[in-house]
Amino acid sequence: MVAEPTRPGTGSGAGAGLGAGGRSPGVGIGWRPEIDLTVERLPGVDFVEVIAENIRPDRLPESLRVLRARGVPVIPHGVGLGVGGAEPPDAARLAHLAACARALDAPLVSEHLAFVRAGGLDSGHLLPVPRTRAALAVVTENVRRAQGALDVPLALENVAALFGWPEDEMTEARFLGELVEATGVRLLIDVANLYTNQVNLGLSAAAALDALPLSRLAYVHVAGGHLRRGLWHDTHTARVPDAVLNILSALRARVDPPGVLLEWDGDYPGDTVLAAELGRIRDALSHV
Amino acid sequence: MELLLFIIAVVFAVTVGAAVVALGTEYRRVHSAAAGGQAGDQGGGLGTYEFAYLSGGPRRVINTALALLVRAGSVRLARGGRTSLVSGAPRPSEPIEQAVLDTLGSRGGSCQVEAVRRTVADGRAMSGLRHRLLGMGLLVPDGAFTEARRLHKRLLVVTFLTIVFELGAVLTGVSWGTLLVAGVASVGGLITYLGWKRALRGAVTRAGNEVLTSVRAIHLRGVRPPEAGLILGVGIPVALYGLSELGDPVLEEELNRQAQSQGAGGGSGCAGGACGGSTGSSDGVFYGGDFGGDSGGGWGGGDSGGDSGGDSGCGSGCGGGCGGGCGGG
Repeated sequence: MVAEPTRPGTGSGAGAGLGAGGRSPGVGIGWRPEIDLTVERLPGVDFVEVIAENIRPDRLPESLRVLRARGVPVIPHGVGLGVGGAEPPDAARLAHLAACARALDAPLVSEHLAFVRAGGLDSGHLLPVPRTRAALAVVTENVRRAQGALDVPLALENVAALFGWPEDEMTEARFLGELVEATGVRLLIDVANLYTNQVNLGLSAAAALDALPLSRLAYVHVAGGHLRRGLWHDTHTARVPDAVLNILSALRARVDPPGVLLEWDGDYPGDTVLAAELGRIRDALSHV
Repeated sequence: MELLLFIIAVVFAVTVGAAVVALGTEYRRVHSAAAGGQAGDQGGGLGTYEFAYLSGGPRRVINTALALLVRAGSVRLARGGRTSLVSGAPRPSEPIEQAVLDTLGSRGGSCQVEAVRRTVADGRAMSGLRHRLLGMGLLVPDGAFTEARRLHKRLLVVTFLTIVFELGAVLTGVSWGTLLVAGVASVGGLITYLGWKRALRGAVTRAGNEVLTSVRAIHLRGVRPPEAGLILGVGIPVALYGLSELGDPVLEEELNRQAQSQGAGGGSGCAGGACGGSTGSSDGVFYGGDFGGDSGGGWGGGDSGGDSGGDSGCGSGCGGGCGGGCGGG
């Protein structure tokens, strides 16, 4: 199980369930088939995350079996559940997430607080949820359904956005806070997404950190991206910019996260670059 | 009747013997022609990939390139034998290594290792390497064994007929003398046929084998110079002895994975050519073709054992939508 986060300096238990024993916080990397051997061999990887839609619980990739045999926690990370939609989450998708968690003996499952489909049409994107009271009521019910179908805790991730809904009634932090209060759901805070929203929408990452219910933090995502025509694209295909690591340090100043995970989804660099990125994350966590 | 059968047995034995002698003569003629007048060229211009070609043919060359590229961080190897380009890696100067990267680039940046082998084996870099070795008199030219292969088939026919005669003789209860003559001819013909079968698939000349012997005397199997760089620590050992010298069983397994899944042994995973095992001969290293299993060593016979040749006659020898600017993740 993932431990409750502790305040910086108190240390103990922060890495339980994710990080290696005694170390806090744990640092991990997104497991992808293209870099499976790299992930297995990177030094100091305390946990990994796998895209749940890309695996079959009854036929786990050999690399994941190797990692599990070593005791490395593997977290199924869903990208298609769509708890932010008007319709209840799909039972088959929930069953798949639950089966992944069981097959991997995962301490938790994570998903996105995002709108992804309606009326059988898939957006192909993780779109922001309209932050209204009406939407909160629907999302709360969706999250409860999801929690009921899972044997392990669910953590929801804040998404990066290129736009906001005009009818938004509250900030993302408040929306998440009320959702957490109503459902007890954990949080997966993507600091790169906070940075994206800061660049694209002018939403202060520091203010978000101040308002988010960090006591329910499960773990953290970090990733790089590209700036194009004034918009930040969270592509997960580049080195993590210092600005994102600064947000990570700011988060660490507020809470001791159980784990921090690097996402890299394409244009994979060499092993030394990935190892160096993990090192930069550790440095950012130590520079509070 | 008994005398007639004995005479027939002797005729068979003489025919088999003549076929064996003719085959050996033709084989030596080919090797003499291949090495003739170019012995002085063999010492210079040889490097990792020339050694790899002489040791194990195109497959060994590609395995050497893959081992070097993976170790250098230019190519990534994933489980299941999937290779991919590493973003931002420097471009190598060796044509074979460039061919590997070009193959991956032309296939969207990644493909199965066997696809890399097939493409690079048929490519210009490989043929350039082969022609260089031919020009140095270190390889036997294509088609040089046409006559030898014809003689080889003739040997098979006369051996088969001798065996049929031998079986008939056993059933009819002829004298021990007849059986002995026919038996010696049958067994001798069969052994010779099988030995030459591997030899005639391809060959390194005597000069090529001498080069290999001298290089192997310097670079011993399993011995690494202290603080060896990539070439001495990976390139030369893999070139001379195969992927087992990579010193990384997991990478070795993944580089061999597809070949193994198609069946173990030297005859598996072949494409566009014969497969053979590691052999040695009086004139050099024999090879079976471009592809094969990867456990036997030597030409076409794999890339893990690798110490072939000899002087003792023919023998056996996103993340699902997380990235890409989707604004999620």
